Amino acid sequence: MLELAAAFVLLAAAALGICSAIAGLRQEHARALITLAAGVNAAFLLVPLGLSLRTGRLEAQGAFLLQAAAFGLMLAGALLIAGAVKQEAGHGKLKGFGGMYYRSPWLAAAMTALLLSLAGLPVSGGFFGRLFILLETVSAGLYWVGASLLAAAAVTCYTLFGFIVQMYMRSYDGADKIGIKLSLLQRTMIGACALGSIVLGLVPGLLL
Amino acid sequence: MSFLHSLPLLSLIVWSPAAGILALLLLPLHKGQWFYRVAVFASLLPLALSLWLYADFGRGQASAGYDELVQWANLALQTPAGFQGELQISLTYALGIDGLSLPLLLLTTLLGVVAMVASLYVKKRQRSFLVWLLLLEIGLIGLFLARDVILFFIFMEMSMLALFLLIGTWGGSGREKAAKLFLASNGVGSALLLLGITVLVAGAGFRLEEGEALIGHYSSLYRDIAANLAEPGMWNKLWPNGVGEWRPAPMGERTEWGAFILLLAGFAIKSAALPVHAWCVKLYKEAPTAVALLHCGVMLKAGAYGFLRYGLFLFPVQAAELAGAIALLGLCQLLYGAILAWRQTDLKSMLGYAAFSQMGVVWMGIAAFNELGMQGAVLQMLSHGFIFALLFLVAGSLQERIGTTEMSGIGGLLRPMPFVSGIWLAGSLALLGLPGMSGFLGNFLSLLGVFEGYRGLAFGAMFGLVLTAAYALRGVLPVLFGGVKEELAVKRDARFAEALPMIVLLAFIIVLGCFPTVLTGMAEFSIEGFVQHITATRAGG
Repeated sequence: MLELAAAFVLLAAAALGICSAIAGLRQEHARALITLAAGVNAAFLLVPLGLSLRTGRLEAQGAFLLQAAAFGLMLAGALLIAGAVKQEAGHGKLKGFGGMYYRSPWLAAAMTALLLSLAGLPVSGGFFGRLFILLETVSAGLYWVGASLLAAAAVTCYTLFGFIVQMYMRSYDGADKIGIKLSLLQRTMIGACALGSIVLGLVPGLLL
Repeated sequence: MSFLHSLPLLSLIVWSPAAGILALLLLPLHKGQWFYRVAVFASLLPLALSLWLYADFGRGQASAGYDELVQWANLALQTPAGFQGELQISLTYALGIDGLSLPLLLLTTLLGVVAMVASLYVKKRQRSFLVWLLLLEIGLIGLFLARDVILFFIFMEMSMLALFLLIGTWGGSGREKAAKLFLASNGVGSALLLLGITVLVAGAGFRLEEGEALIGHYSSLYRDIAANLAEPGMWNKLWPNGVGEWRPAPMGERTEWGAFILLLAGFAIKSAALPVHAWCVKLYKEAPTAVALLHCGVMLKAGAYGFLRYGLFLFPVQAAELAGAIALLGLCQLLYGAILAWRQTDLKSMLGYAAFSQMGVVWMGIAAFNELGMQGAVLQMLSHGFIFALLFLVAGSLQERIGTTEMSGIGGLLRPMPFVSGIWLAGSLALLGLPGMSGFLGNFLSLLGVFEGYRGLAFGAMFGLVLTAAYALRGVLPVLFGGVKEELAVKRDARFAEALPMIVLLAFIIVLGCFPTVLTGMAEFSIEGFVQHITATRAGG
């Protein structure tokens, strides 16, 4: 019974990852894109659960905890920034991020750090979280799960770089070029999330 | 200078450009004239240190004196049923140097300086450009020194991110498209590599430590993986009694093949090998000169180097079985690239296809599976780096003056710009393999190696070299000679800042052509050892 449940969870993880990645390809709205990328990250989180079910022992593992912490930070930070950009641009489309690096360089730097984590690129908490989960998956001989999740991760990485294109390579099409306004609380929270994502990448064993 | 022995020299070489990044970020905006100088100075640091390392590195000496190993992170894994101990994943920051890495390190640090100098053409947001370029240099240096497969991957991804931004922000009119194509292709390459590396660590990275408690490590350290692959299941023989039933399974034949194919495909994409090369020609056409020369000079070699170290040296049996196919693909790349280069009307596009074509010789040399071929491949990698860096530098300086690199827009350059013309001619002669220049020996040794095992392919490659001469001369004759265009007659020749790196690169091309052992002598011992290891493994297999 547990084995059946494990197979179901692992299949669900692979399906969630691939569907989220494909849906992200045609997405133009920033928050939806972030949420779909979060779907791929959530798919990675499902794998340790499936592996635990396979062995019959449900216990919190290092890889799961790291990925969960990175997931929380990256999602919260990226959604906060997307919310602020939407408020400022008057729409939630990706092009609202246009020229952000030249208008608000620190905010662009924070968004870049969060995107690296969301895309699972080094050096970020998201990279190591995914890497360790992938190692556990492959160690267990579940190559098909690892390959599906990596394919989904590669597609998501490509779609998330749409933000980078907008922030660094495009110019802002709004009426004025004043930086994006944020409250002190917003700044603190975004800064903490971005910093946390990078610190988890530099010291992946910090929380464990 | 003996105090350098007490310092972590390899880390200093990798991270010294970071001092430049920090200085650039701290400089106030109105100090714009300092940005360029700071970046050039920051790139001189790793070059100076690697030159010292080169002078200090004894021939045939083990690199242990320079090795750096720091435990980065340990992560507890779920203990498998039947194992009475702890299971962990260990991450290490491991750097090392050997005869294969050192010449490539020198190439990287030298081209790093040349790229910084070539950044004088960049007028838009120069500070950001230099910061990303220094970050790219860190990534490129790091991947040649990494002795941990995950650390290698991290440096490679760092280079990819920096390249993406540099092409997309500072490239030509089609920059965004070129950057996206680069990202898509390299993203697939990275995914394949990461899966291959994961299989490698999970299957061959196991290490057992006996202390108060028994600890099983999944290690990504290169030497652990190499040792386990050389003697599969060694730790199984040493397995202590009374730790339960569980054993980590050694890599089976199918898994080894899987890992090898994943690594081969990943590195082939990274080095723009046939048939996954389209992104690279687009990149060279659109990228700023500094980026094009650094990518063509170093990044293409990183793919071939990665395949040598992590593909061929770790999986000699699989590589030997596919050697014929790799050599054939190398020949096709040489011929196909040469034909396409010959058809181009734009100098940068011609150089892009020429670079792609000449990398075919590297693949053929590697696939030769003998000492001559591999030495030829290493020499060809270095020669390719110097020659194409020089040619891209000249093309960049022409674009800066004339605004185009279309051959129809350039003609009779010899009279108004004799120095640039002379360098272009010399670079083209090196490309076509003129004896006395590095291109000749790189091609000659590689093909000599190929001749031992695949005579037909070696003869085919001769035809490729004839085509190389044809397109190299086609790029020279109309550009240098012919009627002088009116608007070109008033153009100035190279400035000192442009001329100096051109002279240095040309000097390296000639020195490498006349005295190849200056750089490849140190590679000889490493390659000799690797070939012995490969031969022993093949005999054993």
